Amino acid sequence: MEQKMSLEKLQNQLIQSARRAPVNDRVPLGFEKRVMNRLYGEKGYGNRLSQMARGMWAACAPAIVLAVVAFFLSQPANQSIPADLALENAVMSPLMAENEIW
Amino acid sequence: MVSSIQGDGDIDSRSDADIIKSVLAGETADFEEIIRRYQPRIFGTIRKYARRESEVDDIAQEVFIKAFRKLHTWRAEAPFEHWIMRLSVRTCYDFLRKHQRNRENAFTDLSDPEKDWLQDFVKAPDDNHSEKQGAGDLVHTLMEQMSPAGKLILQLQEIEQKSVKEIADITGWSISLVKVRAFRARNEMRKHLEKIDLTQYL
Repeated sequence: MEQKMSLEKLQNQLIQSARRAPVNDRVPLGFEKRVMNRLYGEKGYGNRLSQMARGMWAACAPAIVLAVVAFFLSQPANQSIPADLALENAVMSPLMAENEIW
Repeated sequence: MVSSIQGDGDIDSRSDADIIKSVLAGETADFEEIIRRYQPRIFGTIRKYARRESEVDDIAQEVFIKAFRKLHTWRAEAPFEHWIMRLSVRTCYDFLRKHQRNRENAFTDLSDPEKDWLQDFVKAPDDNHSEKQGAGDLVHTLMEQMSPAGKLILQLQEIEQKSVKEIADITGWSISLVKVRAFRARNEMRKHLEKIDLTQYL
Protein backbone atom coordinates (compact mmCIF):
# COMPACT_ATOMS: atom_id res chain seq x y z
CA MET A 1 0.00 0.00 0.00
CA GLU A 2 2.81 2.38 0.99
CA GLN A 3 4.77 1.35 -2.10
CA LYS A 4 1.70 2.09 -4.24
CA MET A 5 1.37 5.54 -2.66
CA SER A 6 5.05 6.25 -3.29
CA LEU A 7 4.73 5.25 -6.94
CA GLU A 8 1.75 7.54 -7.29
CA LYS A 9 3.74 10.42 -5.80
CA LEU A 10 6.79 9.56 -7.89
CA GLN A 11 4.66 9.55 -11.04
CA ASN A 12 3.09 12.91 -10.15
CA GLN A 13 6.43 14.54 -9.41
CA LEU A 14 7.94 13.32 -12.67
CA ILE A 15 4.97 14.60 -14.66
CA GLN A 16 5.19 17.96 -12.85
CA SER A 17 8.86 18.11 -13.77
CA ALA A 18 8.14 17.32 -17.42
CA ARG A 19 5.48 20.07 -17.54
CA ARG A 20 7.97 22.60 -16.21
CA ALA A 21 10.73 21.63 -18.65
CA PRO A 22 11.40 24.49 -21.07
CA VAL A 23 10.87 23.76 -24.77
CA ASN A 24 14.10 23.62 -26.72
CA ASP A 25 13.15 25.21 -30.04
CA ARG A 26 16.67 25.95 -31.27
CA VAL A 27 16.96 25.58 -35.04
CA PRO A 28 20.24 24.58 -36.72
CA LEU A 29 21.75 27.33 -38.84
CA GLY A 30 20.65 27.27 -42.49
CA PHE A 31 18.02 24.61 -41.92
CA GLU A 32 15.49 26.29 -44.24
CA LYS A 33 18.12 26.46 -47.02
CA ARG A 34 18.80 22.74 -46.70
CA VAL A 35 15.11 21.88 -46.97
CA MET A 36 14.72 24.19 -49.98
CA ASN A 37 17.74 22.60 -51.67
CA ARG A 38 16.15 19.20 -51.15
CA LEU A 39 12.89 20.45 -52.62
CA TYR A 40 14.63 22.04 -55.61
CA GLY A 41 16.63 18.84 -56.08
CA GLU A 42 13.49 16.71 -56.20
CA LYS A 43 11.63 19.21 -58.38
CA GLY A 44 14.55 19.68 -60.75
CA TYR A 45 15.01 15.95 -61.06
CA GLY A 46 11.33 15.51 -61.89
CA ASN A 47 11.48 18.32 -64.45
CA ARG A 48 14.58 16.90 -66.12
CA LEU A 49 12.95 13.48 -66.44
CA SER A 50 9.78 14.89 -67.96
CA GLN A 51 11.82 17.12 -70.32
CA MET A 52 13.86 14.11 -71.40
CA ALA A 53 10.70 12.05 -72.00
CA ARG A 54 9.11 14.88 -74.00
CA GLY A 55 12.30 15.27 -76.09
CA MET A 56 12.51 11.55 -76.81
CA TRP A 57 8.88 11.43 -77.83
CA ALA A 58 9.32 14.46 -80.09
CA ALA A 59 12.24 12.72 -81.79
CA CYS A 60 10.48 9.35 -82.14
CA ALA A 61 7.03 10.43 -83.30
CA PRO A 62 7.99 11.59 -86.85
CA ALA A 63 10.14 8.48 -87.34
CA ILE A 64 7.21 6.21 -86.40
CA VAL A 65 4.86 8.10 -88.73
CA LEU A 66 7.39 7.82 -91.59
CA ALA A 67 7.87 4.08 -90.94
CA VAL A 68 4.10 3.42 -91.03
CA VAL A 69 3.66 5.49 -94.22
CA ALA A 70 6.62 3.76 -95.86
CA PHE A 71 5.23 0.36 -94.92
CA PHE A 72 1.84 0.99 -96.49
CA LEU A 73 3.36 2.53 -99.64
CA SER A 74 5.68 -0.45 -100.15
CA GLN A 75 2.84 -3.01 -99.98
CA PRO A 76 1.57 -4.50 -103.30
CA ALA A 77 -2.14 -4.10 -104.02
CA ASN A 78 -2.93 -7.84 -103.73
CA GLN A 79 -1.00 -9.22 -100.82
CA SER A 80 -1.13 -12.85 -99.80
CA ILE A 81 -0.70 -12.26 -96.05
CA PRO A 82 -3.10 -10.18 -93.96
CA ALA A 83 -2.10 -6.54 -93.36
CA ASP A 84 -1.97 -6.85 -89.53
CA LEU A 85 0.41 -9.81 -89.75
CA ALA A 86 2.57 -7.99 -92.25
CA LEU A 87 2.71 -4.93 -89.99
CA GLU A 88 3.67 -7.12 -87.02
CA ASN A 89 6.44 -8.74 -89.05
CA ALA A 90 7.74 -5.36 -90.16
CA VAL A 91 7.78 -3.98 -86.62
CA MET A 92 9.23 -7.12 -85.05
CA SER A 93 11.86 -7.90 -87.68
CA PRO A 94 14.52 -5.48 -86.30
CA LEU A 95 14.01 -6.96 -82.82
CA MET A 96 14.32 -10.48 -84.16
CA ALA A 97 17.49 -9.52 -85.95
CA GLU A 98 18.79 -7.99 -82.72
CA ASN A 99 18.04 -11.20 -80.81
CA GLU A 100 19.96 -13.18 -83.34
CA ILE A 101 22.99 -10.93 -82.92
CA TRP A 102 22.94 -11.39 -79.17
CA MET B 1 -0.52 34.89 -38.93
CA VAL B 2 3.19 34.96 -38.17
CA SER B 3 5.62 37.20 -39.95
CA SER B 4 9.36 36.79 -40.04
CA ILE B 5 12.48 38.63 -41.09
CA GLN B 6 13.91 37.29 -44.31
CA GLY B 7 17.58 36.79 -44.99
CA ASP B 8 17.94 40.21 -46.59
CA GLY B 9 16.29 41.92 -43.59
CA ASP B 10 12.84 42.49 -45.14
CA ILE B 11 9.80 41.46 -43.15
CA ASP B 12 7.37 39.27 -45.05
CA SER B 13 4.00 40.41 -43.74
CA ARG B 14 1.89 38.23 -46.03
CA SER B 15 -0.55 35.84 -44.38
CA ASP B 16 0.13 32.09 -44.41
CA ALA B 17 -2.80 31.65 -46.78
CA ASP B 18 -1.33 34.15 -49.27
CA ILE B 19 2.08 32.50 -49.18
CA ILE B 20 0.58 29.05 -49.64
CA LYS B 21 -1.50 30.27 -52.57
CA SER B 22 1.68 31.60 -54.13
CA VAL B 23 3.57 28.32 -53.53
CA LEU B 24 0.72 26.34 -55.07
CA ALA B 25 0.78 28.66 -58.07
CA GLY B 26 4.37 27.62 -58.71
CA GLU B 27 6.43 30.03 -56.59
CA THR B 28 8.32 27.27 -54.78
CA ALA B 29 10.79 29.77 -53.28
CA ASP B 30 8.00 31.22 -51.11
CA PHE B 31 7.87 27.98 -49.16
CA GLU B 32 11.10 29.08 -47.46
CA GLU B 33 9.07 31.71 -45.60
CA ILE B 34 6.76 28.99 -44.29
CA ILE B 35 9.77 27.02 -43.05
CA ARG B 36 11.23 30.13 -41.42
CA ARG B 37 7.97 30.87 -39.61
CA TYR B 38 7.32 27.42 -38.23
CA GLN B 39 10.72 25.81 -37.76
CA PRO B 40 11.17 26.79 -34.07
CA ARG B 41 7.81 25.25 -33.11
CA ILE B 42 8.43 22.17 -35.21
CA PHE B 43 11.87 21.63 -33.67
CA GLY B 44 10.42 22.15 -30.18
CA THR B 45 7.73 19.54 -30.83
CA ILE B 46 10.08 17.00 -32.37
CA ARG B 47 12.52 17.24 -29.45
CA LYS B 48 9.73 15.98 -27.16
CA TYR B 49 9.63 12.70 -29.07
CA ALA B 50 13.03 12.10 -30.66
CA ARG B 51 15.62 10.15 -28.74
CA ARG B 52 18.71 11.85 -30.10
CA GLU B 53 19.53 15.29 -31.48
CA SER B 54 20.72 13.69 -34.72
CA GLU B 55 17.19 12.36 -35.29
CA VAL B 56 15.61 15.79 -34.78
CA ASP B 57 17.02 17.33 -37.95
CA ASP B 58 15.96 14.34 -40.08
CA ILE B 59 12.41 14.37 -38.72
CA ALA B 60 12.12 18.15 -39.16
CA GLN B 61 13.20 17.86 -42.80
CA GLU B 62 10.66 15.08 -43.30
CA VAL B 63 7.91 17.27 -41.81
CA PHE B 64 8.59 20.17 -44.18
CA ILE B 65 9.00 17.95 -47.24
CA LYS B 66 5.67 16.28 -46.42
CA ALA B 67 4.09 19.69 -45.80
CA PHE B 68 5.25 20.88 -49.23
CA ARG B 69 3.90 17.78 -50.97
CA LYS B 70 0.57 17.89 -49.15
CA LEU B 71 0.13 21.65 -49.22
CA HIS B 72 -2.80 21.37 -51.60
CA THR B 73 -4.73 19.38 -48.96
CA TRP B 74 -4.70 22.28 -46.47
CA ARG B 75 -8.15 23.78 -46.15
CA ALA B 76 -7.96 27.41 -45.11
CA GLU B 77 -10.85 26.92 -42.65
CA ALA B 78 -8.44 26.05 -39.83
CA PRO B 79 -5.15 27.86 -39.12
CA PHE B 80 -2.16 26.53 -41.04
CA GLU B 81 -0.32 26.27 -37.74
CA HIS B 82 -2.70 23.56 -36.51
CA TRP B 83 -2.30 21.68 -39.78
CA ILE B 84 1.50 21.67 -39.72
CA MET B 85 1.70 20.86 -35.99
CA ARG B 86 -0.60 17.88 -36.55
CA LEU B 87 1.62 16.78 -39.41
CA SER B 88 4.73 17.07 -37.23
CA VAL B 89 3.26 14.98 -34.37
CA ARG B 90 2.12 12.29 -36.82
CA THR B 91 5.56 12.26 -38.48
CA CYS B 92 7.19 11.83 -35.06
CA TYR B 93 4.86 8.94 -34.28
CA ASP B 94 5.63 7.25 -37.61
CA PHE B 95 9.35 7.73 -36.92
CA LEU B 96 9.04 6.19 -33.43
CA ARG B 97 7.19 3.20 -34.84
CA LYS B 98 9.74 2.68 -37.61
CA HIS B 99 12.67 2.93 -35.22
CA GLN B 100 11.41 0.87 -32.32
CA ARG B 101 14.21 -0.79 -30.46
CA ASN B 102 14.84 -2.76 -27.34
CA ARG B 103 13.65 -0.69 -24.41
CA GLU B 104 14.75 -3.01 -21.61
CA ASN B 105 17.02 -2.29 -18.64
CA ALA B 106 16.94 1.49 -18.79
CA PHE B 107 16.32 1.82 -15.01
CA THR B 108 19.22 -0.46 -14.10
CA ASP B 109 21.79 2.08 -15.23
CA LEU B 110 20.70 5.39 -13.76
CA SER B 111 22.96 8.46 -13.78
CA ASP B 112 24.19 10.06 -10.54
CA PRO B 113 21.72 12.98 -10.71
CA GLU B 114 18.88 10.49 -11.20
CA LYS B 115 20.01 8.41 -8.21
CA ASP B 116 20.43 11.55 -6.07
CA TRP B 117 16.97 12.70 -7.03
CA LEU B 118 15.45 9.33 -6.12
CA GLN B 119 17.26 9.42 -2.77
CA ASP B 120 15.82 12.87 -2.02
CA PHE B 121 12.38 11.72 -3.11
CA VAL B 122 12.41 8.59 -0.96
CA LYS B 123 13.52 10.58 2.10
CA ALA B 124 10.64 13.06 1.70
CA PRO B 125 8.08 11.89 -0.87
CA ASP B 126 5.63 14.64 0.09
CA ASP B 127 8.07 17.45 -0.65
CA ASN B 128 8.18 18.97 -4.10
CA HIS B 129 11.27 17.72 -5.91
CA SER B 130 10.05 18.27 -9.42
CA GLU B 131 12.29 21.29 -10.02
CA LYS B 132 15.50 19.59 -8.96
CA GLN B 133 18.07 18.29 -11.39
CA GLY B 134 17.62 14.58 -12.03
CA ALA B 135 13.84 14.68 -12.36
CA GLY B 136 14.11 15.73 -16.00
CA ASP B 137 16.62 12.96 -16.68
CA LEU B 138 14.32 10.41 -15.05
CA VAL B 139 11.39 11.58 -17.17
CA HIS B 140 13.57 11.15 -20.24
CA THR B 141 14.55 7.62 -19.13
CA LEU B 142 10.91 6.78 -18.50
CA MET B 143 9.82 8.13 -21.88
CA GLU B 144 12.53 6.10 -23.59
CA GLN B 145 10.95 2.92 -22.28
CA MET B 146 7.43 3.70 -23.39
CA SER B 147 5.91 2.22 -26.55
CA PRO B 148 5.43 4.75 -29.41
CA ALA B 149 1.67 5.07 -28.74
CA GLY B 150 2.25 5.24 -24.97
CA LYS B 151 4.87 7.94 -25.36
CA LEU B 152 2.65 9.98 -27.66
CA ILE B 153 -0.34 9.78 -25.32
CA LEU B 154 1.75 10.45 -22.22
CA GLN B 155 3.23 13.55 -23.84
CA LEU B 156 -0.06 14.91 -25.14
CA GLN B 157 -2.37 14.02 -22.26
CA GLU B 158 -0.27 14.04 -19.11
CA ILE B 159 2.42 16.58 -19.96
CA GLU B 160 0.72 18.95 -22.41
CA GLN B 161 -2.65 18.36 -20.71
CA LYS B 162 -4.62 18.13 -23.94
CA SER B 163 -8.18 16.82 -23.96
CA VAL B 164 -9.17 13.48 -25.48
CA LYS B 165 -10.85 15.33 -28.35
CA GLU B 166 -7.74 17.40 -29.05
CA ILE B 167 -5.59 14.26 -29.02
CA ALA B 168 -8.00 12.54 -31.40
CA ASP B 169 -7.74 15.54 -33.72
CA ILE B 170 -3.94 15.61 -33.60
CA THR B 171 -3.36 11.89 -33.98
CA GLY B 172 -6.24 11.03 -36.29
CA TRP B 173 -7.35 8.30 -33.87
CA SER B 174 -10.99 7.90 -32.81
CA ILE B 175 -12.05 9.19 -29.37
CA SER B 176 -12.53 5.64 -28.09
CA LEU B 177 -9.10 4.58 -29.37
CA VAL B 178 -7.50 7.57 -27.60
CA LYS B 179 -9.23 6.55 -24.36
CA VAL B 180 -8.08 2.95 -24.67
CA ARG B 181 -4.52 3.98 -25.47
CA ALA B 182 -4.47 6.52 -22.63
CA PHE B 183 -5.57 3.81 -20.19
CA ARG B 184 -2.86 1.47 -21.51
CA ALA B 185 -0.23 4.23 -21.41
CA ARG B 186 -0.93 4.95 -17.73
CA ASN B 187 -0.61 1.24 -16.93
CA GLU B 188 2.55 1.01 -18.98
CA MET B 189 4.06 3.98 -17.17
CA ARG B 190 3.15 2.47 -13.81
CA LYS B 191 4.76 -0.85 -14.75
CA HIS B 192 7.98 0.88 -15.75
CA LEU B 193 8.07 2.88 -12.52
CA GLU B 194 7.55 -0.31 -10.53
CA LYS B 195 10.88 -1.53 -11.89
CA ILE B 196 12.63 1.14 -9.83
CA ASP B 197 13.46 -0.44 -6.51
CA LEU B 198 12.78 2.54 -4.25
CA THR B 199 13.91 0.63 -1.13
CA GLN B 200 17.54 0.74 -2.26
CA TYR B 201 17.44 4.53 -1.97
CA LEU B 202 16.34 4.52 1.67
